[in-house]
Amino acid sequence: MIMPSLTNDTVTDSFDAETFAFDTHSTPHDFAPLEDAIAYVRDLVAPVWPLKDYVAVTPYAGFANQHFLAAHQQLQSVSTCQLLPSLRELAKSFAAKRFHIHDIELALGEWRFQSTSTASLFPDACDMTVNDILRYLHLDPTENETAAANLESLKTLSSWFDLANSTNWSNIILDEIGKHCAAYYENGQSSWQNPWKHLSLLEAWRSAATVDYNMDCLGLVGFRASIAALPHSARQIISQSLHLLGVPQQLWPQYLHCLVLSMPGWFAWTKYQTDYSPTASSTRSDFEDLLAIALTYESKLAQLTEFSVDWQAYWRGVGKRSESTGLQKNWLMRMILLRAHELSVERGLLQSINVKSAHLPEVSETQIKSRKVAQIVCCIDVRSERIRRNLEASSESIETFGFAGFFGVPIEHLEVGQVSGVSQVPVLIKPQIQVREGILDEPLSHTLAAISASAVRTRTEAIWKKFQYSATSCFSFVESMGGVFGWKSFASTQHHLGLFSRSILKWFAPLSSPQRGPTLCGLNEQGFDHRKQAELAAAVLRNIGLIDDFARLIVLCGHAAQTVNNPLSASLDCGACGGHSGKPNARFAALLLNQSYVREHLAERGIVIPADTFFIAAVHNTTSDEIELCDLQHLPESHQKDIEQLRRCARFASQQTRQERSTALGAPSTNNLLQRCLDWSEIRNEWGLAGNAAFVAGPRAMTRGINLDGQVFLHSYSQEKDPQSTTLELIMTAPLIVAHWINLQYYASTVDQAHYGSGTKTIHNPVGNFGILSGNSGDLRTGLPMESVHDGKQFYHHPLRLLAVIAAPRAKITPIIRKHAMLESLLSNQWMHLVVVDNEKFYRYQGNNAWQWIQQRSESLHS
Amino acid sequence: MGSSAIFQLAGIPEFGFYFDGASALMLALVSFVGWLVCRFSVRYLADDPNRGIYFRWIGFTLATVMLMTVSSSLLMFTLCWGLTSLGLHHLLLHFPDRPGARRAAWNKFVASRTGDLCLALACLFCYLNFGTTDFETLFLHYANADSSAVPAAGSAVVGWLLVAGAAIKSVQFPFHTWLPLTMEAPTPISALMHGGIVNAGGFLLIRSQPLLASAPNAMLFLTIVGTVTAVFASLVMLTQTSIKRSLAYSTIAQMGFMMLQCGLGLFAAAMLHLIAHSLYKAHAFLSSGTLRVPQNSAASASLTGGWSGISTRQKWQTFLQSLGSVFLVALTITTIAFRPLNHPNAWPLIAILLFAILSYVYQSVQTLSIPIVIYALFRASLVSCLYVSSFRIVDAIVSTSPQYSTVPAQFWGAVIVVAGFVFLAVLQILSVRLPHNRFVQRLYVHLSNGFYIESLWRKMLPSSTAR
Repeated sequence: MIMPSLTNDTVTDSFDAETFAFDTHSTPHDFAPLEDAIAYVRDLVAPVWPLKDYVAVTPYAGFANQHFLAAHQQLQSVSTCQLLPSLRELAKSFAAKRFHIHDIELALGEWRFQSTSTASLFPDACDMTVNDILRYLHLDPTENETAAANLESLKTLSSWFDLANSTNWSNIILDEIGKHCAAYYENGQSSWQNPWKHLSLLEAWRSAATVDYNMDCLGLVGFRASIAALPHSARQIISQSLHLLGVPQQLWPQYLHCLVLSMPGWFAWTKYQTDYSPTASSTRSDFEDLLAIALTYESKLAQLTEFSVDWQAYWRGVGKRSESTGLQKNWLMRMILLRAHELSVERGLLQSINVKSAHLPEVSETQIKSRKVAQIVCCIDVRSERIRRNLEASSESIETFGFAGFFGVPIEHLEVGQVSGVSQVPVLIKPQIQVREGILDEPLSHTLAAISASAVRTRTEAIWKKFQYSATSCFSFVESMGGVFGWKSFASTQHHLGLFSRSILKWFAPLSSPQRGPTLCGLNEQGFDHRKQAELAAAVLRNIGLIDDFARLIVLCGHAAQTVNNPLSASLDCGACGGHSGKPNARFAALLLNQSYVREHLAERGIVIPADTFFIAAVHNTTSDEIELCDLQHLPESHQKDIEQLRRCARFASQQTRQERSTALGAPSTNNLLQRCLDWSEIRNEWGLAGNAAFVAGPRAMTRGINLDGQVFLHSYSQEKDPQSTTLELIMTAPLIVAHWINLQYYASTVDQAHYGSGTKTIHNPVGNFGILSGNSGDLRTGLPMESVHDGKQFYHHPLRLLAVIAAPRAKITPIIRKHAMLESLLSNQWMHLVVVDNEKFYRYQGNNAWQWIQQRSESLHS
Repeated sequence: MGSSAIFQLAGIPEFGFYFDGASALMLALVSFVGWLVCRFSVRYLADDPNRGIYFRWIGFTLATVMLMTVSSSLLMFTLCWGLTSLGLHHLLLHFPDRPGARRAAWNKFVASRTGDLCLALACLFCYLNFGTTDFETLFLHYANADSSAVPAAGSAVVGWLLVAGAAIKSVQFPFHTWLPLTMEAPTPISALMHGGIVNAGGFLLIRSQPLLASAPNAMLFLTIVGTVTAVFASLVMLTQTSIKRSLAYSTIAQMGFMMLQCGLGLFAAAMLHLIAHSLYKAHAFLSSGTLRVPQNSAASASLTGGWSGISTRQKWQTFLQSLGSVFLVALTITTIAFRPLNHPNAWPLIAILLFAILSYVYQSVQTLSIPIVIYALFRASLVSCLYVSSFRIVDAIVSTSPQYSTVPAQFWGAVIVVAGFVFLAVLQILSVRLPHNRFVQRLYVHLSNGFYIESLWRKMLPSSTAR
């Protein structure tokens, strides 16, 4: 029997379970404040990608439209999250002379100048002086930190309960939620899978929770029985739970935010599922479902133990706390010291930049000199900086460019024998072309054979795995194969033997792999005809800024890391390729640009590529710094000499780069770096993008020959070749944002390991093939591990917000910032900084179309 | 006992070395796993500020395990095992600030001390009855049980206590809960624990097998406990979502299997299992960072293509493989025919092995693809050949050690084992065939919680959370 729909009053006033069990007709109006609160927290949460495409994400993406300091204040009011570096680390940096008193003065001056707009945040703290800050720095930093930490923030009900009764319910609830989420999302880890995966997260959880006695066993008797009486929709559950908890309506957003930050990992994962995963759709509501689930545990704890919290009084306390002068002073000091460090880095970078060449047309430079042997296009990744510098140092006749590592070809790469491909694009755009791999230079029958053989191998391995992991046969498997695994362990410890045994096994393997590579098969069928292929090729060249003066060889050099036994390996790969190797993109782009019909079309569009120019693909192995050249079999005899020279230069550059990196890694020799690629016990194969601090878009002449120590993203840009500013707009809205995300990911993992880092790798426990747990259970860990930012003694990465330096006139940049509100808010809220090189002078963007000329001081003043 | 070597440490009774085939195997195993783990830890913990303490305790733990393997008396064995436990306790608390680590160490402490109590009582009984706990002397006493004035009840009690102590310390149901909690320590610790220490219970039983002869009921009990543990834990293993937890439940299951082999009196098979499992699990933990992401399976249609798409080289390979398979099958059959597992209780084990191999081959036959079937046959024969040959080697070495004198045929024990495995197979098939059946779904939820035994322990030991 269907109950008549209830009136608004019933819905808002009485929240007993029975009313809700039947109430499915309430109007949206009833939920308006709730919807707002949910939308509010949902927008604040950043997603996390699965391990296989673990790209960099800033956990603070949702705060972009708030001032940096305001975001810190907000995070502190509902959690223990830190957005500012600790005073201890800042004091260390100051003591190590990474910034000076002069920088503090500048930062303070800048703060005073801005404080008209931000004064409302800190009314009492504006009258501090440099001496105050210095005195503060020399205090015992630990004392300051603990004084600040002792002040309380909003807590979830379970945390309150634990404090009051010295229990551990908040952790138990976290483990429970983690258990259910892992079972729902796991991808091939368990053989007996959750039977409710086809339902929504909420329904799957409800189905399991009505059977599950775990909470009852742990002491919350009656929990299981109460699940059946929950309302139908997530929204109703959230509403009911908030009322049960007694949270007043005006505190809903804060309470939900607090709840989200008590398990940032799982909420980030549901956010990914809702908005970014391949199965994401408007009907998915994983995030809201998880909110409902988490609130159910909280509210049932309150209900079954009859525990309540006076939220109003409590929130007033939090408000008073954030108004306390001591705390405000602490925050402001840290903010100013952070800025001082950034200004010091900025000064160093701007001083080294060759301003004069920022506006020299590149043409004239190349025209004077003879034609280059090779032009090498590398990814903007900070790791490319070293290899580019050393490549250029190896020979006068090598020129390098910086461009997003997917080379502007938005492809989905389909390996032989696979039915679904890998998206080789930055995560925020969708792949547009499906590129199929095939056996190169052989008739189609070979590709067919390879597909068939791949299927045989996949199935053989799958059946073998079943034998290994099945409940009945695992005992026999272990008894028979134990010795083999003993050998495997021995071989992994002795990598060279491992290689040897693998080469023996290869002899037995059902298939050897002939030369495979991307093909142009099936592009026409996807509507991607010759004309469109040529358009893509033209866009690629234009955006690189490579439209004339082509060298004999043009190398598109992607990059990839080489690690073993590393679940977070994707975080070391190319972010522009969705956390994968850049190899398929480079090979496909080179293949496309070598096609004669593409070149004909390009010539019609004014890009004339000489007949003796060849595009080749390459991969920079960022762990070993080897450069592998691909697909050389089509290269004519005439270019063999060039290739030989290129190889020599690459070997030189590799060795030089290894030399530099072995110092940074504390490796005893350059050979040690090669071992790190193969060692299964290695926890720091390379530093990845640690140390990143700046993004430079401009002609290479501006930075050529300067040792930037792998700290700068380098994007090629030449304003003379971009009269319409289309490339500039693209750079500022895509690669710059990606760099900003990476920068803040490293920032967050450094300043707030507890929430946005994944802890030490030594206790990592991969869960469901998509994520990482620390130890037994608990929250899904996001961000980077300690080993990526800390060298065991101190932080290797210094948390600094990204400094973008762009060689373009202000008149061109201002309209772009105005057009893209996101850019404006990131810049004026100080999530990153922008300096332009305009007419041989530097100008800093101050928000709201205001520019400040940066006076260059001579170095002797403050050294 | 011709091949065993006994050294008495100067002046101290009960302390000396007892070195024979079983000790040698065990010592070699512990040395290998210990070397592996230390070698791994050098880079893995290079950043850890507490690595000095870490290596100190790992050295201590390894030393005590090694001493345990060559103990000449039950007392020394028990003491060394206790010290191992102490070392492990410190290793588990490598991150002392993690509440999970403290809980794991505390849970393990309670289980281990319970086991230690049983062993201490066993020592006491031995001492009261025979005036010594020295293995050599005890074995002699038991061998001459008829002539000497050993009170039969007393010797049976020793058997029961040994079985209980070994079962409790080797994570038999329901004392298994601490093991899945120990992932709060660095990975190599897990490898060491699962690949070198947790199976000491099996070694104790193998070492002291003559003492068990007087307690046939304890053996039957051990078979039952082992079967329950193996069936229970391998079902729970299927449902676990994180790599390390499923490895932990797999270890519990394997320990159960080892115990049921001991219970059946198949000590050589148990020894083989112990060694093979140690090597397997050490590798599994050390390589736990390698994801097992399922491949996007290729269209199954291309499977039936069979030979058509295969190049000449691959055809040759396949031919050689099938030739090899025939050869290996022949070899296996010959080995079994000439030196079978000549033991009245061996048939359940042979049945389990055959069932595993046949279901493996059956699954490949289901694909209807000739290359897959040939490849599976090749691997199946390789597996049986490996099993038989490693069994022969281990048997040859262990049989030099003092043995369980007369093995009574344990008909009911064997029946229980087979029944347990049939039950396991049926449930596993149900989980695949009827995933949406109410019963199967409920079972899934209970299993994924390990039937709440962990939670009940957590509730029973409340101080663990407060600590």
